Amino acid sequence: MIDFFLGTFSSSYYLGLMLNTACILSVSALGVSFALRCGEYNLGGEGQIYFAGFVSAMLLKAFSSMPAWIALPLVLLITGLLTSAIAMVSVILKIKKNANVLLTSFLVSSAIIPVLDSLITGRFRATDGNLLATDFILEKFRLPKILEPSPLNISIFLIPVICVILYWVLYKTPFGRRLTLFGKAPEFALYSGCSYNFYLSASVGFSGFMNGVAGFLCVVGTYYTCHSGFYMGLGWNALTCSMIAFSNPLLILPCSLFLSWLYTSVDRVALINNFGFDANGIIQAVIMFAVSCVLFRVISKKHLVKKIKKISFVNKGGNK
Amino acid sequence: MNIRLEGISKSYTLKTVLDDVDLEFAQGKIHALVGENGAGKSTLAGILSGETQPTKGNIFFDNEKVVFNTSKDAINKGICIVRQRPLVSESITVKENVLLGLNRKIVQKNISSLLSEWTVGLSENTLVKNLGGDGRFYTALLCALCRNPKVLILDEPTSMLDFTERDLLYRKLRELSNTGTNIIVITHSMKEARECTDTVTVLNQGKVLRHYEDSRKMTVSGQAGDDLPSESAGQQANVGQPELAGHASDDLWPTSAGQSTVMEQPINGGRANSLRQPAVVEQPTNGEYLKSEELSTVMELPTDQNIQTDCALSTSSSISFSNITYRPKDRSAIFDISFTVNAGEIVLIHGLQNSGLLTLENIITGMENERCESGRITIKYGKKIFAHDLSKKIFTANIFRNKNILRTAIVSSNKTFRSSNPNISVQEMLTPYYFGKDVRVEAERLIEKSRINVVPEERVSNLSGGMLQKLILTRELDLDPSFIILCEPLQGLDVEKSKEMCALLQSLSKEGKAILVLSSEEFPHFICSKALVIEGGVLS
Repeated sequence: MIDFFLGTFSSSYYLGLMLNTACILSVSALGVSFALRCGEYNLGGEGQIYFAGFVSAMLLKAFSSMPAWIALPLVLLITGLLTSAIAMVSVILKIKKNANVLLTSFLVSSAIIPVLDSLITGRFRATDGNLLATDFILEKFRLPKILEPSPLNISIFLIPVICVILYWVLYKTPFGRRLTLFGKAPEFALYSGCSYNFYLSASVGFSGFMNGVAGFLCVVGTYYTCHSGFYMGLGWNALTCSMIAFSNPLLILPCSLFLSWLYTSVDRVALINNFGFDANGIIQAVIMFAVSCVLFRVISKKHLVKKIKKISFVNKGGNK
Repeated sequence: MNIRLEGISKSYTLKTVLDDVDLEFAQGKIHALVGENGAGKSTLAGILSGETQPTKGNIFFDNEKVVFNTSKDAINKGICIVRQRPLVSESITVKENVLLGLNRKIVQKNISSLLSEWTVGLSENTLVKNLGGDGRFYTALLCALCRNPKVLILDEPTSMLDFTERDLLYRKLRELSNTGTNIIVITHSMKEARECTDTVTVLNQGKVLRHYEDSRKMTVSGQAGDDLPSESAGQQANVGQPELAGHASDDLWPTSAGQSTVMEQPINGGRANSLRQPAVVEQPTNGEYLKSEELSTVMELPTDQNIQTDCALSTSSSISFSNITYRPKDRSAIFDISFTVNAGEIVLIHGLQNSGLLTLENIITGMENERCESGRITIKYGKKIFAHDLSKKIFTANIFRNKNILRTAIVSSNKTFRSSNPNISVQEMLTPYYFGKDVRVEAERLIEKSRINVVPEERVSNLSGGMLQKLILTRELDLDPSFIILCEPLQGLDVEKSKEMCALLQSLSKEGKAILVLSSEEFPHFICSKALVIEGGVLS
């Protein structure tokens, strides 16, 4: 039991793996938070991350002659914008046809995944290996590792900065306040003169952009290629992370650390004890359920204290 | 079920709303709770219905002490409330709202009969978002009635209803009380309290000022109860407008004849009669209502000459709505509506919400999400001219909120979900137009300006109707608007607040602001430069 909880911290590989997972989860969760703040669910995270990974791998292959300091930001920008454009399909459908963003983002994602699968396993599959993956990116494009042999890389230093910036945008700027207003009180926001189309586009578009960044980081920091199915679970885990953090960018950091610890620990224990994939899921579900209960209690603590006070009041003064 | 309240108090951070209230409500009667805005009526109703917990005190039901932690506890005891701002689900139908949380089979049979008995022309399959205030009230009322309540609490039930509906409501309430139901009605109207209820309790600043076991013995202003709230201004207007109601009373409000030089289009008596039921209008007793001279003194009414001069001075700015035709799927259509509001004018459009008033409000406040069949909005502001073709592009609120076009203040008739929202804080409600850094400071400034004792972090859902109205108005007028759209401005206001509102409108029009008032309640026409009636979607 102790090994389950502390084992991850006992090895630099697992520690690095956990932190690296937390980084990718944070980036994607930050994007989800933006959409959630505006009252919309971007459920297309997985397809968008997969798409971004594929685009990044292709672009880096195409820009192989460029120096890394030009190619990496350029690819990041292009990938982000293209992934954002994928997310914007849902926005356009919402504006033009009043289609539900939650459904369309999921459907678009579901449509993209098999297309990408076929591209990766078909025309763009690397010829020099057995992996169902694209060609590996060049060494010069790979982010330097900081905790060998784990995939942890220098992107970890950027994540807290991004969290703080996004917190400032959401909580301290008129743009963030208005965006939040849409999530809490859409009719009031419209009445106040906020443009729904603008804030919807901004939030879902940015959500897509961040998923693009997550996909890019997966390729340049973790896998160095876009292999088939690398996105598995990332989008949903990011959504979980964002919801546990109440869409607060500062809370996303600890939440993503907790989730990544949970996933890494379960994977580690499963590997050591030869559990099956389903057992992994069950352990994760049990722990998440327990955490949710604790969280619920913390939230309702105020209510409970109130209740206790009331009961004691009824028992004492109330009986006069 | 008899109810007894013993030493009920409710305090918030900065104020005590109810202070040691002792009251009894006997079953089989209609009880009225009256008092000025902020007297604590709604809070008391909230405590009885389990929505609010008292700071101290006890509630007894048939001599058995009860503690309500949630509304569900109260509902289980047979207590149902219909709030002043009915909380109904917007995106589902009337019937679906009623069925929420109830046994579908049992209730389904009752809905149709209840609808036909209690309402006038409300369809159970209409989406609530397409209903006006009256429809939403009836939906909430049906939700309560389907639970066979032992205690029914109605918070300002008639504020959204016309006279036919008011009459029907009180008739049905009487029938219900005769079956043993305990009915508590919160109202601003002393007339209603005296004529339609059995007992009256007057609240003032959170305390019971007076209690009358027989409402007919209740004294009014000028007699023993000088500090009692008087009849609401809205109803005074009705009583005092002989050409509208078909009465020859001239002791309250100036007749339209006196205003004929000002009113571009005085209301036609015949048409107006169909909106108001003369049967309900009665001659007031001595001292019940304020005399016109009295009101004039309070409001510092300008003479007709003054109003004309003011208008003449500032006709350079105007906003015109022309040939608006719009047929929404589930709401009243409007046909070829045209009117102009010039700077310095107060233009009143009066009518029932389901006669097209609500549709018109949605269009001119930019809350309609479809294009109109035809129509044009033209804003002349100094040398600038802005035109918007409603048939080509949806007119949205952000066009009016755009300071480059015209600074506009909008107070919607839906103050619960449109002009504010119960899920947000007072700070969020007050600062949607603020682009600075110190949001809290700005919110505190507006709170101070509105002279309301509340902290910025307070939830909007904890505000009384009067406080909410005041905060919304302060926020909107703080924009220093050139054009002001006020929908149902006297809704839920007591007589003093109504007078203040009218005086405020007059002073604003004197400052050269263009003011458009949309009202389904009576509104003092004599302060308006033009008064128009919308009926059947047509403006006259």
